[in-house]
Amino acid sequence: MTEETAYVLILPSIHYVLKVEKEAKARSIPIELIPTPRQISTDCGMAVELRGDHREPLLRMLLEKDIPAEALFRRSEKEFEEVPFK
Amino acid sequence: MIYLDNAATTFPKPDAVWEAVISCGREKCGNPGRSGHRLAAAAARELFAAREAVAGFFHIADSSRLIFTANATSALNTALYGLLKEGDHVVTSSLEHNSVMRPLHALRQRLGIEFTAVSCSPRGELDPADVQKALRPETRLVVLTHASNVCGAILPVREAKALLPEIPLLVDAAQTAGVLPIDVQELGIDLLAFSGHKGLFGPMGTGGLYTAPGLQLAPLLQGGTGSRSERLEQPAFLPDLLEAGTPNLPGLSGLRAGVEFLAQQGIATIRDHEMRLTRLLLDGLAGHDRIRIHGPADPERQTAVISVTLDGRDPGEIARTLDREFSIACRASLHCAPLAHQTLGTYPQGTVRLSMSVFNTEEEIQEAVRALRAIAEGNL
Ligand SMILES: Cc1ncc(COP(=O)(O)O)c(C=O)c1O
Repeated sequence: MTEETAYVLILPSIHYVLKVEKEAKARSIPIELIPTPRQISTDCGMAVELRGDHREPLLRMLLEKDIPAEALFRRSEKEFEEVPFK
Repeated sequence: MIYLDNAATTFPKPDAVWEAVISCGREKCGNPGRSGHRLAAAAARELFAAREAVAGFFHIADSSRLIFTANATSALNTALYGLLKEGDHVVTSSLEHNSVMRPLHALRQRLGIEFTAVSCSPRGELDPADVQKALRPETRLVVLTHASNVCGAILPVREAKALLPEIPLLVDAAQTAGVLPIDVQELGIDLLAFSGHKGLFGPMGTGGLYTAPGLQLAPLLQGGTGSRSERLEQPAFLPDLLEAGTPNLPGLSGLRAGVEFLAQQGIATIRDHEMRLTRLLLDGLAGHDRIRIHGPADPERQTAVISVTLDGRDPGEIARTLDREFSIACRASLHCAPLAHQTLGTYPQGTVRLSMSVFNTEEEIQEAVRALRAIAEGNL
């Protein structure tokens, strides 16, 4: 079931959203850019959505590429729960 | 017209540059990073692509550390005002442009900073050991132009940095971006300021500043970034920290096309062509007893910028004659760098400056040689 879990990653600005998209593509980590869900309060209009089984490699990529991430949310149905990065 | 004023701004630009400006304006010109709709997203992608392309061109590993500015002047002011504090000392050279000298002068008056302009030789040579000798305990920054906009002399920025690894180095690459290979890591550049509208072939209203990791500048401007809007403080992360306000997106699309053009041609090929033209012009003018060439007079040690004077003739009048009688566009007098002219011994009358780009041809340079020789002979 875990690979059905979706996560939403929030970044400080659109530059970093697009950086994540570029780097994830280079590493063949499938992600999708989505309009930031309205339940999540942030200024950045776009967010990164990914499946649970891609969480680990993506978080590793953020560390290696020194990309500042703001928050990570787990999505279940229409609910968003903030979860720690580790 | 024969355009020999490329040191002021390059002309013509590759067609791809103007095509990129138009296609951005027609199809992608939402406000990047401000709204969530598709046009804003397309604009954000366009801005990101430009940033990645220009960062890659200078071997900047993290493109967020490259901010876009309106020109080199604005980049230099951002660096100088953002870094220097009361009591700081700066070492610079006697070949600097007013976009370095005037901010330093103003900072001296306002903040009490001090600076030493190390003398270059009358041929435009800087001894890196002299930079080292000018150091003081409170020296916070070394600022060097990568090449003189008056005489083309290339300054030894890498050697200066190697002697002073612990002092941040700000390089004014207005005359060298797109003309000489620039790898910020290899040259040891901590801050790189450049124009987009000169050797990079972007439109006017473009330029940029790179800041190395570990250096934090205080922003010159505060304002909207589309991020952290709930806070009154400017966001602390780059590029937002130093990029308040809506950018010149169509211009930056053009700049990206300019950089792609350079990558396609290859800097080495461009440099070869410009060195050939420089040699042609130098050889064509050499040996005339009334024509004086100022600066290195050596294609290996200079960019394709040459300053000349004709004995007994006013530079402004020569430039007017070149324009009216020969349709040759160039620039006369002080070129915003009075101290450089004092160094070269051409103050206060200045020089006639001929500056070339990859789009100039050997025939054009031969025509310029004929024209200057005719004026020197007093035939016009
Ligand atoms: C050496 C040098 N520094 C700075 C500048 C200023 O560049 P910009 O006109 O892009 O502000 C110029 C160009 O005039 C220049 O030649």
